[in-house]
Amino acid sequence: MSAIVTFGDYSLIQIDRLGGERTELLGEPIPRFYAEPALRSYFLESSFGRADLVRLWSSLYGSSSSPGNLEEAFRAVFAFVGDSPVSGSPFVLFRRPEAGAPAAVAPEGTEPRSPEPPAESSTTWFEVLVVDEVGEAVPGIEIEFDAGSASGSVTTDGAGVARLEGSEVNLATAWVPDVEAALSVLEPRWAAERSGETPTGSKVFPGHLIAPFRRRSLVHKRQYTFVLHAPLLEIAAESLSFQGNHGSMKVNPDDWSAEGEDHPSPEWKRGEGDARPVSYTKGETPKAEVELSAIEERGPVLPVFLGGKQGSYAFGGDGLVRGSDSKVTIEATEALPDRVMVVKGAIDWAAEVQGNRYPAGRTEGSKIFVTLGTPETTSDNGAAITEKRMATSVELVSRARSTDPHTVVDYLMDRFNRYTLVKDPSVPAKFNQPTYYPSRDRAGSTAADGAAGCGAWPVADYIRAGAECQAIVRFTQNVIKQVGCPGEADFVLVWSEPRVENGNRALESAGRGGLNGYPSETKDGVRRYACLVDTRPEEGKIYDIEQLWLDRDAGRINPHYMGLNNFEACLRFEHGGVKKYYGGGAGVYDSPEEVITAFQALCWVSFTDEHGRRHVAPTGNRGARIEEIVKRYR
Amino acid sequence: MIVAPQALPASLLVEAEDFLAMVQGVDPASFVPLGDFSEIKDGAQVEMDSQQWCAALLQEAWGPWVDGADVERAVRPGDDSAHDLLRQCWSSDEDLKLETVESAQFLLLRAKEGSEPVLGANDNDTSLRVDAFVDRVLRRSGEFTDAFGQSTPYRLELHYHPPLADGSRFSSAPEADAVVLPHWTGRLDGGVEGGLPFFILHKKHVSGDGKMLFLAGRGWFDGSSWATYGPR
Repeated sequence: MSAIVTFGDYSLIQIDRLGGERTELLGEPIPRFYAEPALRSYFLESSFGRADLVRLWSSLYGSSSSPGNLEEAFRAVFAFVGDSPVSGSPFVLFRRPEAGAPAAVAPEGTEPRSPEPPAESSTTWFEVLVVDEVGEAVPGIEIEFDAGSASGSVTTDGAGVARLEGSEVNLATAWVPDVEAALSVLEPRWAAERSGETPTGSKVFPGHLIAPFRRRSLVHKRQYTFVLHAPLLEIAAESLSFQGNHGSMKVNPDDWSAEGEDHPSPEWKRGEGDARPVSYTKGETPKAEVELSAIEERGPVLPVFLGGKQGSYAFGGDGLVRGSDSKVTIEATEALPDRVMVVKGAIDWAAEVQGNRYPAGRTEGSKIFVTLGTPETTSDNGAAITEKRMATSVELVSRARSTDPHTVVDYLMDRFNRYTLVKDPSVPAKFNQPTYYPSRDRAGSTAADGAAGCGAWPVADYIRAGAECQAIVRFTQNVIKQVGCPGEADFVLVWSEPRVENGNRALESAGRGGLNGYPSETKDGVRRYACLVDTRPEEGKIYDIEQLWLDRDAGRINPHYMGLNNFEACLRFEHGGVKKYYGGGAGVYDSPEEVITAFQALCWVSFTDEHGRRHVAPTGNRGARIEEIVKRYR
Repeated sequence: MIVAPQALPASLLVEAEDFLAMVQGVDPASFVPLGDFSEIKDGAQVEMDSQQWCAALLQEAWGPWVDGADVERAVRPGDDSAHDLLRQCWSSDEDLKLETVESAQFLLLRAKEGSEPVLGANDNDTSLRVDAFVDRVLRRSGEFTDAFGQSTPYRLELHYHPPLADGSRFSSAPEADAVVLPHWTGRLDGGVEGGLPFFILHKKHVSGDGKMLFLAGRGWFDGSSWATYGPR
């Protein structure tokens, strides 16, 4: 079996059968990675090649039969191809010297011969042209030559050429000895993106500037070109900065207070934990800027396409990697849906540079809250937009399964419909349930140690405990404003007065009003007060004003009970020309006139008789007597 | 401050007298020592209630809920003659021994034997002593928050009617009907018994719901007082 398989410009040489010939005379060893195309082409695409493949395979495996599958046979042979004569591999592919050069190896069976010296002058030369990745010559690069007694280093001249004279041999190797120095020379030209073609050819050697620089075999009296490349090994997303988002959420995912640092930008930096959430209005297309880093950072600025996947949501955009502008502006591939929701999950980044794909890291914990509009604050205590408040609001409003503001309000008022005036001991005292005013407990005392700045937000955590109507209204206002729900929402009181059209007109006020403090009057020696009653009244009858239940568990109501009221509290919501009143557990109304029908009547009531004696109800509790029915509403 | 020298009509003090008479009418021995509020069916509610109202009336350093106060607590379930009653006794200072007796409707604060008496050499002296007690122990002024979250300053000025002697009564707003007060600061009643001052706070629960709250006196301990205003 021949020690050599020769085809085209190449020789596949079985090193262990050469008997000590100087391998540098064989030509240029081709690295295994580059050898495969040439070998594959010869062994699989020509009849001579296939025959040689079968012979090599048989000799390697000691088989007298042919391989059943040529592709598998090629892989088996290729497995024995190495990078260089010194690598210990059985086969090395060489690119043969130019025609006319002395034969590198004597045919098998002959005595090996030393190469003959040139017939003319006793010395010769070797030359290297150094260019960058776009083919521009690079002066000032040190090139080391190993050429027998003439070995030494030469620095490229203004034309990028390094020439070694006075060599007595006609084969040499050359390389860049100081990669760092070469990078320093090239760096200035990499500050901005450049265009140009990367040189190729049989005498063109690409060289990545990684130490140790790969040595190249040179034949004398020929110019070879070294193309210096800065290696691009890794790309990483360094920061993420959303553009055009509301930017109003304070950093507070933990409690209901209005405390928290302002929304940061960028929302994420590598190595600093999860991303901070952002919010956009439904239908918008999120955009962001991603800063990138590269390893090696020193190198030419390159165009890059960056893609990001967040669950089923995707981003993409073009930009540059390396240099001072190493960032990409990305955009979501589709607009946010037309509903309130949250897009959440880690974003996996991948970059594409010059046809190569680089995983570029992951942004953990990213969230995009999709709202109805621009978030707003309210007049509630501690008004602010925070991450916790936004998360809760989006969660609640999303369950309404509608973007219609009235539908959303209706859902919320129906969901939080546990109205109570009773304090639940299970709710932390600092929230002052059921009022949820930090400065007002049931005593109306400002001495209470309230959770200042939480407002009615804690209602969300203690639904079963219930709350006053005004607290539920404030909570609903807070939620709808947090998600930018359009429309006007106000806490209003509805009541009537005996001295205003005899109670025929329903009165409405945002914030203050009602019958508390309404001037009493004295008639026939009896002091009487105006009240709205929720039980059908009879004039002259004394009703129990304390005890509603005879037996709460059995549901037995006290027939003598009458509830007295100063007003009905409502959320008045107006949008799209439609105005509705959401009463505290009393339904939804279209006007104050409808709201007032939550009561049976407007009456004058007394608590004492003409002698100043307190009324006592049949149950023995305190009583109120209906002195006069001013207006019946039902 | 001495006001006009006419007596306060009894009709304007009906609640105060009723409450005082209720407390004076029960046998002190009928109170049962209270170790823990869990011994009462709606004890958590009662405890919260007492804490809030004591904090409303009393300066922080003087209340029975101050950390470290050595308080003796006792309860008396209601009957035909009296509400459910919670009694708390403690010594705030060398010269001041205080007691509160409260129900769902009122809080009676009185200085007990061993405290500095308030009856002075004359009416003016007595009124000054009472005022000094008020300034020292009670929250004479401050701010309260109404049903709509608005803070309003208040100041309690007691109207004294000579002669000021044992059995005298005074009020910050005798004309205001205690049943329909918008806020407890609308009226504070008091008097002198046994040479020592007492004060009655009418517990008016502020409601942002529009509903007027009237708690039954005999449903405080079992929670039935509040059941009328529970979740609906």
